[in-house]
Amino acid sequence: MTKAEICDTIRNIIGWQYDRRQVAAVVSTVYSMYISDAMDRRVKNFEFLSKEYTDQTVSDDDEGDYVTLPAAIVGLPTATDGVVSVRNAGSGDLDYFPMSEKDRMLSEGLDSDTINTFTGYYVVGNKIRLYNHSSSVSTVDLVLAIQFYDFAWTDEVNLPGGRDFNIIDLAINRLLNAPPEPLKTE
Amino acid sequence: MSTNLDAIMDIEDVVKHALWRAKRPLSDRMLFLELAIWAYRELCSNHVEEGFRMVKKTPNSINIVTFPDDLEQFVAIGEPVDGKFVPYTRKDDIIITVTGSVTETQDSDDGEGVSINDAQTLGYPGVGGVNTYGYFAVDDENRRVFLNSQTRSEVLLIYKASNILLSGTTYVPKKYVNAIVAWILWQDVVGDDNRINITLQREMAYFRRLDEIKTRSFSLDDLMDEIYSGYTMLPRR
Repeated sequence: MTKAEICDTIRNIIGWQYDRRQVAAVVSTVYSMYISDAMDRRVKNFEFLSKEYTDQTVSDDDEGDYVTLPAAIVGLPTATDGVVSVRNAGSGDLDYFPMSEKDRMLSEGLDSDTINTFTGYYVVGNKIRLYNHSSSVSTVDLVLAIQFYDFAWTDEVNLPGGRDFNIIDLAINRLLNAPPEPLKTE
Repeated sequence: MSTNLDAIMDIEDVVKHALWRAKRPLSDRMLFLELAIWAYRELCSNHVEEGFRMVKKTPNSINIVTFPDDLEQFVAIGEPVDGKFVPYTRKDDIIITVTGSVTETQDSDDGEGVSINDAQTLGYPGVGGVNTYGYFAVDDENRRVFLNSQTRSEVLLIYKASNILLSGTTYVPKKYVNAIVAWILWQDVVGDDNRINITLQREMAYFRRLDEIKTRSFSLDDLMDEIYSGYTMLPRR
């Protein structure tokens, strides 16, 4: 189902006086919780729950190369939160590996730093910092577990297996405790 | 063309293999790479034949040979004689001080650079073996060797290196991969007071893997050759 269809499914149950955006905001909080739960359950194919962003530009500043996150990611119990993978643009090659900023700092100057040929990435704020990145690579593809709210209305949103009922049910319970709001269009 | 899988693998592939076997996330890759490097270094330094290097070195003007940067364990220094390596004799009482700091020289009044007197049959110089090719003393603090009484201008240095290449691909024999993975998993839990039992189990697993390597290191022919190498022919009368 698309994001719009999920929200409209809920509106069909609780009433169309609820603004679709209000519904999406509530679903977003529930969705993030179940995405994190999927990580705890060691779901094998996490990319099924993610969205791909292609040809993202690699920029640089005083601290090195980075890619700006194109959407808000879900906080997950991993080293890189909702950044599922970074790949060479167009090729799909997984030459980038996740790491924590702590790993990057501790390995600096050690033997592993000396011989390592792969590019690592870690998340700082809204940036994906790249470590040992080749300056010849100017764009990368990203696979991100993003907040429900950041999906486009026409995006297909895959819900964690066996949890779609829970997500919709919990969202309905939360919405029924809040009056429908005529949201402003900004 | 070989019909079997290669017998060596890239050390970075050893890391991927270890992560997969241990069911660890990709984010542990850097840590596992650091541990893999130390695991292979440990194997080469203490347990297996790989890592030996023999290089030619030219002593400087005051008969000192500086250790290469990749020397992790000094083994021997000597010279070629009839196609074979003949080691110099280590004499720790050779004077290893120098005079001057910016430009080092040797002051013979202080015994620096003086050829030791090994030809006497009485007294202190008569103690120990006489080596007509030369002697040496190791200056560990400054990573160098002081030569004494050798005549060649170019000598041979044997040492152990880590066997990890600074640039290019480091290949690890696949027969060592099990031991490397066992070492990585052991070191990964060392220091965690909540997992002492696991630490001990993994330490034992590592040494079991080491035994597997070592039992395959020598053939019976190798052992007999080693024994016979000490025999000499006696004249018939």
